[in-house]
Amino acid sequence: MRFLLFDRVLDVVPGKRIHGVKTVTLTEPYLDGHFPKAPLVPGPLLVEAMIQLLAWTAITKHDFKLSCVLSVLEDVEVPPQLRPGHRLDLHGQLMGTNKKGSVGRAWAEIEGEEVARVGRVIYGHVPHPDPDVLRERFRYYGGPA
Amino acid sequence: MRFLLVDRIEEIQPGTSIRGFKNVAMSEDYLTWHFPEQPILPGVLILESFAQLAGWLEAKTSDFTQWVLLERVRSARYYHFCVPGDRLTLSLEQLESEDDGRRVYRGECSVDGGRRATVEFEAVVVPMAELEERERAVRTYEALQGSEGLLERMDLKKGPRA
Repeated sequence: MRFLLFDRVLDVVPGKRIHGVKTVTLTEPYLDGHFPKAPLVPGPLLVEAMIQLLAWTAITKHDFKLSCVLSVLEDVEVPPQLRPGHRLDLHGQLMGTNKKGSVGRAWAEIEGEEVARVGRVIYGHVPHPDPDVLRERFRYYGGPA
Repeated sequence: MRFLLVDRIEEIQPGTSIRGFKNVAMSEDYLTWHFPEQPILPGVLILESFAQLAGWLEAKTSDFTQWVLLERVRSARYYHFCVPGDRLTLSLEQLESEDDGRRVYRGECSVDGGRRATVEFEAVVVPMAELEERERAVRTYEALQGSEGLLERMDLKKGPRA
Protein backbone atom coordinates (compact mmCIF):
# COMPACT_ATOMS: atom_id res chain seq x y z
CA MET A 1 0.00 0.00 0.00
CA ARG A 2 0.95 3.60 -0.50
CA PHE A 3 1.48 4.85 3.00
CA LEU A 4 0.02 8.27 2.23
CA LEU A 5 -2.82 8.66 4.62
CA PHE A 6 -4.38 11.96 3.81
CA ASP A 7 -5.49 13.24 0.44
CA ARG A 8 -5.31 16.99 0.42
CA VAL A 9 -4.17 20.03 2.38
CA LEU A 10 -6.82 22.75 2.40
CA ASP A 11 -5.16 25.32 4.62
CA VAL A 12 -1.98 25.65 6.63
CA VAL A 13 -0.65 28.31 8.97
CA PRO A 14 3.00 27.27 9.47
CA GLY A 15 3.81 26.57 13.10
CA LYS A 16 0.17 26.99 14.13
CA ARG A 17 -2.51 24.89 12.47
CA ILE A 18 -3.51 22.85 9.45
CA HIS A 19 -6.70 21.58 7.85
CA GLY A 20 -6.84 18.68 5.41
CA VAL A 21 -8.99 15.90 4.05
CA LYS A 22 -8.90 12.12 4.17
CA THR A 23 -11.47 10.14 2.22
CA VAL A 24 -11.95 6.51 3.09
CA THR A 25 -12.86 4.27 0.18
CA LEU A 26 -13.65 0.59 -0.17
CA THR A 27 -10.76 0.24 -2.64
CA GLU A 28 -8.09 0.74 0.01
CA PRO A 29 -6.01 -2.42 0.19
CA TYR A 30 -5.85 -2.82 3.98
CA LEU A 31 -9.64 -3.23 4.10
CA ASP A 32 -9.26 -6.55 2.33
CA GLY A 33 -8.41 -8.46 5.48
CA HIS A 34 -9.66 -5.92 8.01
CA PHE A 35 -12.07 -7.64 8.11
CA PRO A 36 -13.31 -10.30 5.66
CA LYS A 37 -16.95 -9.75 6.67
CA ALA A 38 -16.76 -6.06 7.59
CA PRO A 39 -14.51 -3.36 6.13
CA LEU A 40 -13.40 -1.33 9.17
CA VAL A 41 -10.77 1.40 9.10
CA PRO A 42 -7.91 0.36 11.41
CA GLY A 43 -7.66 2.98 14.17
CA PRO A 44 -3.86 3.32 13.93
CA LEU A 45 -4.14 4.33 10.26
CA LEU A 46 -6.56 7.10 11.18
CA VAL A 47 -4.03 8.22 13.79
CA GLU A 48 -1.35 8.16 11.09
CA ALA A 49 -3.54 10.33 8.84
CA MET A 50 -3.86 12.95 11.59
CA ILE A 51 -0.20 12.98 12.59
CA GLN A 52 1.10 12.93 9.00
CA LEU A 53 -0.96 16.01 8.26
CA LEU A 54 -0.02 17.84 11.46
CA ALA A 55 3.68 17.19 10.82
CA TRP A 56 3.54 19.55 7.82
CA THR A 57 2.64 22.40 10.15
CA ALA A 58 6.09 21.97 11.71
CA ILE A 59 7.90 21.22 8.44
CA THR A 60 6.55 24.36 6.76
CA LYS A 61 7.43 26.42 9.84
CA HIS A 62 11.05 25.25 9.62
CA ASP A 63 11.36 25.97 5.88
CA PHE A 64 11.31 22.29 4.86
CA LYS A 65 14.74 21.77 6.44
CA LEU A 66 13.60 19.06 8.80
CA SER A 67 11.32 16.09 8.99
CA CYS A 68 9.17 14.73 11.83
CA VAL A 69 9.32 11.33 13.51
CA LEU A 70 6.75 10.06 15.98
CA SER A 71 7.92 10.02 19.57
CA VAL A 72 4.87 10.03 21.88
CA LEU A 73 1.09 9.63 21.55
CA GLU A 74 -1.27 10.31 24.42
CA ASP A 75 -5.02 10.50 24.92
CA VAL A 76 -6.00 9.04 21.55
CA GLU A 77 -9.52 8.00 20.63
CA VAL A 78 -10.54 6.29 17.42
CA PRO A 79 -13.90 4.91 16.24
CA PRO A 80 -13.63 1.10 16.51
CA GLN A 81 -16.12 0.50 13.70
CA LEU A 82 -15.61 3.17 11.04
CA ARG A 83 -16.66 1.98 7.57
CA PRO A 84 -15.52 3.46 4.25
CA GLY A 85 -17.57 6.03 2.40
CA HIS A 86 -16.74 9.04 4.54
CA ARG A 87 -14.83 12.20 3.93
CA LEU A 88 -12.96 13.10 7.08
CA ASP A 89 -11.94 16.64 7.84
CA LEU A 90 -8.61 16.50 9.63
CA HIS A 91 -7.53 19.35 11.86
CA GLY A 92 -4.23 19.81 13.62
CA GLN A 93 -2.76 22.40 15.97
CA LEU A 94 0.80 22.83 17.15
CA MET A 95 1.19 23.88 20.77
CA GLY A 96 4.92 24.37 20.44
CA THR A 97 7.79 23.81 18.04
CA ASN A 98 11.54 24.31 17.97
CA LYS A 99 14.47 22.77 16.10
CA LYS A 100 14.47 19.64 18.28
CA GLY A 101 10.81 18.78 18.23
CA SER A 102 7.16 19.73 18.19
CA VAL A 103 4.09 19.05 20.28
CA GLY A 104 0.51 19.29 19.12
CA ARG A 105 -2.95 17.82 18.92
CA ALA A 106 -5.22 16.73 16.10
CA TRP A 107 -8.76 15.60 15.51
CA ALA A 108 -10.98 14.24 12.75
CA GLU A 109 -14.54 15.27 11.94
CA ILE A 110 -17.28 13.83 9.78
CA GLU A 111 -19.80 16.51 8.78
CA GLY A 112 -18.72 18.70 11.67
CA GLU A 113 -18.82 16.00 14.32
CA GLU A 114 -15.61 14.87 15.99
CA VAL A 115 -15.03 11.13 15.48
CA ALA A 116 -11.37 10.75 16.45
CA ARG A 117 -8.68 12.67 18.27
CA VAL A 118 -5.03 12.64 19.17
CA GLY A 119 -4.98 14.54 22.47
CA ARG A 120 -1.23 14.97 22.39
CA VAL A 121 1.51 14.04 19.95
CA ILE A 122 5.21 14.73 20.29
CA TYR A 123 7.48 14.58 17.26
CA GLY A 124 11.23 14.48 17.20
CA HIS A 125 12.80 16.42 14.36
CA VAL A 126 15.48 15.09 12.08
CA PRO A 127 17.33 17.31 9.61
CA HIS A 128 16.30 16.80 6.00
CA PRO A 129 19.13 16.97 3.47
CA ASP A 130 17.07 18.39 0.62
CA PRO A 131 14.33 20.96 1.39
CA ASP A 132 13.26 21.01 -2.28
CA VAL A 133 12.29 17.35 -2.06
CA LEU A 134 10.03 18.06 0.92
CA ARG A 135 8.61 21.15 -0.80
CA GLU A 136 7.76 19.03 -3.84
CA ARG A 137 6.10 16.39 -1.65
CA PHE A 138 4.00 19.03 0.07
CA ARG A 139 2.85 20.29 -3.34
CA TYR A 140 1.94 16.70 -4.22
CA TYR A 141 -0.47 16.77 -1.29
CA GLY A 142 -2.03 19.95 -2.63
CA GLY A 143 -0.25 22.07 -0.06
CA PRO A 144 0.10 25.76 -0.95
CA ALA A 145 3.91 25.57 -0.98
CA MET B 1 -1.34 -5.29 1.31
CA ARG B 2 -2.09 -8.13 3.66
CA PHE B 3 -2.96 -6.22 6.78
CA LEU B 4 -1.62 -8.94 9.07
CA LEU B 5 0.91 -7.33 11.36
CA VAL B 6 1.84 -10.28 13.53
CA ASP B 7 4.05 -13.03 12.09
CA ARG B 8 4.17 -15.48 14.95
CA ILE B 9 2.55 -16.21 18.28
CA GLU B 10 5.20 -17.60 20.57
CA GLU B 11 3.42 -17.88 23.89
CA ILE B 12 -0.10 -17.35 25.12
CA GLN B 13 -1.77 -17.45 28.54
CA PRO B 14 -5.51 -17.18 27.84
CA GLY B 15 -7.09 -14.17 29.49
CA THR B 16 -3.73 -12.92 30.70
CA SER B 17 -0.92 -12.38 28.22
CA ILE B 18 0.47 -13.08 24.77
CA ARG B 19 3.88 -12.78 23.14
CA GLY B 20 4.55 -12.65 19.43
CA PHE B 21 6.90 -11.49 16.73
CA LYS B 22 6.63 -8.96 13.93
CA ASN B 23 9.43 -9.06 11.37
CA VAL B 24 10.32 -5.98 9.40
CA ALA B 25 11.28 -6.73 5.77
CA MET B 26 12.69 -4.43 3.09
CA SER B 27 10.04 -5.83 0.73
CA GLU B 28 7.11 -4.45 2.72
CA ASP B 29 5.36 -2.00 0.48
CA TYR B 30 4.57 0.82 2.92
CA LEU B 31 8.28 1.33 3.52
CA THR B 32 8.53 2.82 0.02
CA TRP B 33 6.77 5.85 1.42
CA HIS B 34 7.86 5.77 5.04
CA PHE B 35 10.23 7.24 4.28
CA PRO B 36 11.55 7.63 0.73
CA GLU B 37 15.11 6.20 0.76
CA GLN B 38 14.89 5.84 4.55
CA PRO B 39 12.76 2.82 5.43
CA ILE B 40 11.44 2.98 9.01
CA LEU B 41 8.55 0.94 10.38
CA PRO B 42 5.73 3.46 11.06
CA GLY B 43 5.12 3.72 14.81
CA VAL B 44 1.35 3.42 14.35
CA LEU B 45 1.86 0.00 12.77
CA ILE B 46 3.54 -1.20 15.98
CA LEU B 47 0.33 -0.07 17.67
CA GLU B 48 -1.68 -2.05 15.12
CA SER B 49 0.52 -5.12 15.73
CA PHE B 50 -0.32 -4.90 19.42
CA ALA B 51 -4.03 -4.40 18.63
CA GLN B 52 -3.95 -7.55 16.49
CA LEU B 53 -2.13 -9.50 19.21
CA ALA B 54 -4.86 -8.38 21.63
CA GLY B 55 -7.36 -9.73 19.10
CA TRP B 56 -5.65 -13.12 19.04
CA LEU B 57 -5.54 -13.22 22.84
CA GLU B 58 -9.29 -12.52 22.96
CA ALA B 59 -9.94 -15.03 20.17
CA LYS B 60 -8.03 -17.85 21.83
CA THR B 61 -9.53 -17.06 25.25
CA SER B 62 -13.09 -17.12 23.85
CA ASP B 63 -12.62 -20.20 21.65
CA PHE B 64 -12.62 -17.93 18.59
CA THR B 65 -16.03 -16.40 19.23
CA GLN B 66 -14.76 -12.89 20.07
CA TRP B 67 -12.28 -10.28 18.84
CA VAL B 68 -11.34 -6.83 20.13
CA LEU B 69 -11.16 -3.50 18.30
CA LEU B 70 -8.94 -0.62 19.38
CA GLU B 71 -10.76 2.39 20.79
CA ARG B 72 -8.44 4.36 23.11
CA VAL B 73 -4.70 4.72 23.28
CA ARG B 74 -3.73 5.97 26.70
CA SER B 75 -0.12 6.29 25.61
CA ALA B 76 2.36 5.07 23.03
CA ARG B 77 6.04 5.87 23.46
CA TYR B 78 8.69 5.24 20.86
CA TYR B 79 12.30 5.00 22.00
CA HIS B 80 14.17 3.98 18.89
CA PHE B 81 13.52 3.20 15.22
CA CYS B 82 12.53 -0.23 13.94
CA VAL B 83 14.04 -0.90 10.51
CA PRO B 84 14.20 -3.71 7.93
CA GLY B 85 15.93 -6.79 9.32
CA ASP B 86 14.61 -6.21 12.84
CA ARG B 87 12.52 -8.85 14.56
CA LEU B 88 10.20 -7.17 17.02
CA THR B 89 9.28 -9.10 20.13
CA LEU B 90 5.84 -7.92 21.24
CA SER B 91 4.79 -8.72 24.80
CA LEU B 92 1.25 -7.85 25.74
CA GLU B 93 -0.54 -8.25 29.05
CA GLN B 94 -4.23 -7.84 29.70
CA LEU B 95 -4.98 -5.68 32.74
CA GLU B 96 -7.98 -5.84 35.05
CA SER B 97 -11.07 -4.16 33.64
CA GLU B 98 -14.35 -3.47 35.45
CA ASP B 99 -16.32 -3.41 32.22
CA ASP B 100 -16.96 -6.83 30.71
CA GLY B 101 -17.23 -5.50 27.17
CA ARG B 102 -13.95 -3.66 27.37
CA ARG B 103 -10.31 -4.69 27.68
CA VAL B 104 -7.23 -2.82 28.84
CA TYR B 105 -3.74 -3.79 27.72
CA ARG B 106 -0.12 -2.87 28.28
CA GLY B 107 2.58 -3.86 25.82
CA GLU B 108 6.29 -3.62 25.32
CA CYS B 109 8.13 -3.95 22.01
CA SER B 110 11.81 -4.87 21.94
CA VAL B 111 14.48 -5.83 19.42
CA ASP B 112 17.39 -7.97 20.60
CA GLY B 113 16.49 -7.12 24.20
CA GLY B 114 16.51 -3.36 23.60
CA ARG B 115 13.28 -1.51 24.26
CA ARG B 116 11.76 0.17 21.18
CA ALA B 117 8.23 1.09 22.23
CA THR B 118 5.68 0.81 25.03
CA VAL B 119 1.92 1.10 24.64
CA GLU B 120 -1.16 1.17 26.85
CA PHE B 121 -4.56 0.96 25.19
CA GLU B 122 -8.23 0.01 25.53
CA ALA B 123 -10.32 -2.06 23.16
CA VAL B 124 -13.95 -3.12 22.84
CA VAL B 125 -15.08 -6.73 22.54
CA VAL B 126 -17.00 -7.67 19.37
CA PRO B 127 -18.44 -11.01 18.22
CA MET B 128 -16.09 -12.77 15.79
CA ALA B 129 -19.10 -13.65 13.60
CA GLU B 130 -19.46 -9.98 12.62
CA LEU B 131 -15.90 -9.81 11.32
CA GLU B 132 -14.77 -13.17 10.07
CA GLU B 133 -15.81 -16.82 9.81
CA ARG B 134 -14.67 -18.68 12.90
CA GLU B 135 -12.97 -21.44 10.88
CA ARG B 136 -10.96 -18.93 8.91
CA ALA B 137 -9.78 -17.24 12.09
CA VAL B 138 -8.78 -20.63 13.52
CA ARG B 139 -6.70 -21.39 10.39
CA THR B 140 -4.96 -18.03 10.55
CA TYR B 141 -4.23 -18.59 14.23
CA GLU B 142 -2.70 -21.97 13.37
CA ALA B 143 -0.56 -20.35 10.69
CA LEU B 144 0.81 -18.05 13.38
CA GLN B 145 2.15 -21.03 15.32
CA GLY B 146 5.11 -21.53 12.98
CA SER B 147 6.26 -24.80 11.51
CA GLU B 148 5.83 -26.85 14.64
CA GLY B 149 2.86 -29.16 14.15
CA LEU B 150 2.50 -27.99 10.55
CA LEU B 151 3.04 -31.44 9.04
CA GLU B 152 0.30 -32.88 11.23
CA ARG B 153 -2.02 -30.04 10.28
CA MET B 154 -1.27 -30.69 6.61
CA ASP B 155 -1.82 -34.38 7.26
CA LEU B 156 1.74 -35.24 6.25
CA LYS B 157 3.74 -37.57 8.43
CA LYS B 158 7.10 -36.75 6.90
CA GLY B 159 8.63 -33.58 5.61
CA PRO B 160 7.72 -32.60 2.04
CA ARG B 161 11.16 -33.64 0.81
CA ALA B 162 11.40 -36.89 2.76
